[in-house]
Amino acid sequence: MAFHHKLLNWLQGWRFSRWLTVPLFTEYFLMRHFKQKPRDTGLSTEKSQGPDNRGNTNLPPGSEPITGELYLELIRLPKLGHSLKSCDDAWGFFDGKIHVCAEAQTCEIRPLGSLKKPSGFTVAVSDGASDSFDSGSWARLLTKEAVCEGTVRKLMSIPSDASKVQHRQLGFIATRLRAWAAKLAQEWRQQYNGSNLPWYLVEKLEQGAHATLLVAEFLPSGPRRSSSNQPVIWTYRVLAIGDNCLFHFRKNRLHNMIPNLDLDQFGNTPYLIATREDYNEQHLKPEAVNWAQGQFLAGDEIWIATDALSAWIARRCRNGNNNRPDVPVRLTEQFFHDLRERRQIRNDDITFLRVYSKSPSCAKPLKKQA
Amino acid sequence: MPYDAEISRTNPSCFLFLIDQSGSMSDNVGGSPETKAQALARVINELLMNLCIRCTVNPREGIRYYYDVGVLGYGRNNTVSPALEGALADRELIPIPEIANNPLRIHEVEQNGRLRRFPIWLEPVADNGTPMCEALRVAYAILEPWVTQHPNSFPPTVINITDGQPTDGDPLPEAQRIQQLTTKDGNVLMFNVHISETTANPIYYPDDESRLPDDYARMLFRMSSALPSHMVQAAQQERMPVTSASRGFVFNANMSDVIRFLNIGTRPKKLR
Repeated sequence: MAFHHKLLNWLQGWRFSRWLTVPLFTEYFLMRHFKQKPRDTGLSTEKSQGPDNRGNTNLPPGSEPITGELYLELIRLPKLGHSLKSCDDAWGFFDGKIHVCAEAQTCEIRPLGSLKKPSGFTVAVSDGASDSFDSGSWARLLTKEAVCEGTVRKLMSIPSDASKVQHRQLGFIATRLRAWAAKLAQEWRQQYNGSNLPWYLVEKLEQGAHATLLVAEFLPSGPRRSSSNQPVIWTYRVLAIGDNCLFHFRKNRLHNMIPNLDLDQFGNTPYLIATREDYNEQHLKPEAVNWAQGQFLAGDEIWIATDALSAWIARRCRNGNNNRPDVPVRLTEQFFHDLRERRQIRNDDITFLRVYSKSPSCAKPLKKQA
Repeated sequence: MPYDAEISRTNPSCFLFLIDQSGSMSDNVGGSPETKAQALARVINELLMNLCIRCTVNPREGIRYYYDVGVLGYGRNNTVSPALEGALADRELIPIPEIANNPLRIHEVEQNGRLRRFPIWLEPVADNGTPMCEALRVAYAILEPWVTQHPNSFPPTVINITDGQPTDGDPLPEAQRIQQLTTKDGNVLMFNVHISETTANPIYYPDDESRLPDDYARMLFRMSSALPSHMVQAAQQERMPVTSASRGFVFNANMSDVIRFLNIGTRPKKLR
């Protein structure tokens, strides 16, 4: 066994200690620079998911980098018959400034960065489990901290090859996520300190809050010349716990779905991040962590959705030969209300984020899917 | 598809528990100093507590009105009457927020260094005969207007817990009358648990009456509705031997069987 492997094994034996910050970051360094025997996760269909962490920027044949501005379209809707205040879904994004769902309208479109001054951005969505205590506030805290605080973004840069993610790397990410959640849970609980709560709120608070989390980071790479007019190659990395999904469409077809869930996995008990450490110790393990990366090229679209809408998108893709589902160019509340009324999606909170360059490709009419 | 309605504040559902408070409930549970009446009161108090916690969402909203709940006792003075005490005495169906805010008393216990509060609504009672037929008639009278007022709701669930045979006739026609009440989402669900102080083998969720030991067990089987699919799944998760034809019925149950049964029989499909 090579020396760095032995050192890595030794460090991982000690990583639970709060006092060993230096070994933790040494481990992080080793993981990035000395890849171990890989495991195929089947998460991604891309062979070359570059650029990797060292700036490799291979493009698939016939693909072009993005030459225009990127846009982020955001929608957050409560369950039918409920107000937005009781919505347990949350989103956040960071483009140098923190934006969170609490400040936002139901639907909006925001420009993200132009060719002349490309900068990275991070988005996150979370779905609070409606049967746990004040899970909407937990989901909001998770998304806010995931996009603006460095821990999750650092973790996302650990694996370096989307098609070969190591179980050990996912284990490291899970361990660090548990520590991160424990710290956030203290902050979350503080809002109830000193309150004279009735017995049922005390008991429910003790059971804690639970939420899914999906974080996607978009980074400009390739020819980084802010003053030139050269196109920018965008890459994304995604980290997901639970059944929120990222759908990557290329040439109007599903190119990648993360996590790549079966249809019957939606609506079952998803992996969650909890405010209770014992729950996270039991459930937040390597198998709960999904990670992938890819290139975001001209004409591509990325959709990120919470579980009810993800289930609909996944079903439409699978029943429609992986063609992108037909959705309006400018999404409205009414579109989602209609889906619910036709019982195509269940009555759940919905959060939907769409990243595209210039106008979304759904401006082009698609054939109606069965 | 029946039994598919979301339980919401607009369309709440309903639980009605019929509990045997006859004299035989004063017998001890096998190997325990606790009587069956005491054990049943403890189980019902825990169940009500869990229902309240299930409906609790956050400090702003407190408890959501997802259920009307009633507990009828039969036996005391050979009559049938609402069994909860204190501020809720004599109430037949009570919205869950009112139940949460009006326990008879709160029992405080230190557990793992934390002071825990256990609300008590029901005291143990064991007295006289087993007027089960009358209890089913009263249940019908309570539920008939409820299903009319809540046509879109998940239908009410009636859970009858008894340790012996009725002393006032044949309960099967009364049980069948209850099962014929409907909302648009399906017929009222009627489940039965027979508790035993002996160590006889329990029979869980039978799907065929031919393997039941006697006429009384077969009668309770016929009085019981088939489990809806989401409860079949819940029972399978608890590693119970169930099929799609299983009835909501356990014979010769011990107290842990009763708790498991109540957890399955009160499992919501969709809570919004």
